[in-house]
Amino acid sequence: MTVKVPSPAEQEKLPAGAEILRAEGIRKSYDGHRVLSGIDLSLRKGETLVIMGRSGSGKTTCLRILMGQERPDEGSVHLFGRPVGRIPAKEMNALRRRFGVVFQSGALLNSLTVADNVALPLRELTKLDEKVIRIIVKMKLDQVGLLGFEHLMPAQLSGGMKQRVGIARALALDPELLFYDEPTSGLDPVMTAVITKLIRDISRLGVGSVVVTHDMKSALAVADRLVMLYMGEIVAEGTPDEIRATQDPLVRQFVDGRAEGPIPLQTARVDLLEDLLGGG
Amino acid sequence: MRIRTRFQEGVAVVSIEGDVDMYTSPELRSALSELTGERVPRIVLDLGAVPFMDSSGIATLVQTLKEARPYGGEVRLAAPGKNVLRILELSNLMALFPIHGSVEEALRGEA
Repeated sequence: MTVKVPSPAEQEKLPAGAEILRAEGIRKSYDGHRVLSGIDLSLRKGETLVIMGRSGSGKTTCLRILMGQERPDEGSVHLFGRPVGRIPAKEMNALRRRFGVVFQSGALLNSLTVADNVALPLRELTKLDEKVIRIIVKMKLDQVGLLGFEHLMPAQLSGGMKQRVGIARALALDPELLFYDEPTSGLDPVMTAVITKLIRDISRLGVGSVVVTHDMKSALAVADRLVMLYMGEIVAEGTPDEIRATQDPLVRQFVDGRAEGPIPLQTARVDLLEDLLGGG
Repeated sequence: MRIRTRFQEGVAVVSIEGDVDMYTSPELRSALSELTGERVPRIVLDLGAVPFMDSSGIATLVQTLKEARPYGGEVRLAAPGKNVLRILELSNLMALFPIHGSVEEALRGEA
């Protein structure tokens, strides 16, 4: 059976605002511990959705399920109208060419130069000749402001530069959708602002974006819509203005970055003296 | 994608029909490198029937220009649609190619 996967060009012809991602009723547990409890999400072409939440809220698991890297226990994910996890591997591979992933800290291969890192998906997934690949690499590095750094090794780059190379690599195949996993994690405020602007610039090109972050400033700057995950559930959803204005104490504590509030802190499980003197 | 090449007054007019993307651009690259390999002095790319072009298509055009320039050759674009113009603009490469409204204009050399 021949599987018809819409080409990037066909996708381009979709009207602005066409739905490219839909998740319904996603549930996931590990060892009996519920991580996601019925998540519903959608994304339209050119839209930026931010999934925010503190560490352990389930947002990275949610992202992995949206990308097809993990299967939910219940629920479904449709990417570009196709049901992830229920299509043949060949069709899933074709779908994977239509989205890019920006990992925390760039996740570059340390043994490859900047250029070779960016070229990696082009070499692995296309039949483009090497000269054309080298031009695309320069175009993508120019897009992230790193043209001229092709020959450097990852060890010679700052954290922000690594992240930008990671974005250039994710852009290599001209994706219609980008997933960002904590893109500003560990970066200084200036570089966080650079990456935030870059995410915004890329989404203006019509690329849909799903950004997982706990960086509120960056989240509010890039999002068209935000959802807040808390203990595996969506507890708030809205535009940046709606989230800024919310009076929900849970969301307010997160947005304001306060220690006091309804979000419980992880506290010591045992008493120090008992632990030290208890003979354990 | 379909590619047809005809010669008119020593100019190669390459008419492309269909999308130029990561799947199809190797075929375009092959057709164009044949022309630069023969040192064709002027190549006019008729893009009037190209609804979509991605980075690989743009890179293919740039590589063709890189190959033509050393022998004094030139590459002109004729009748690109708004999607092709948009990606050229986004790639900051508009200035690289003379762009003409039609093949006839490109043949006459009118901008």
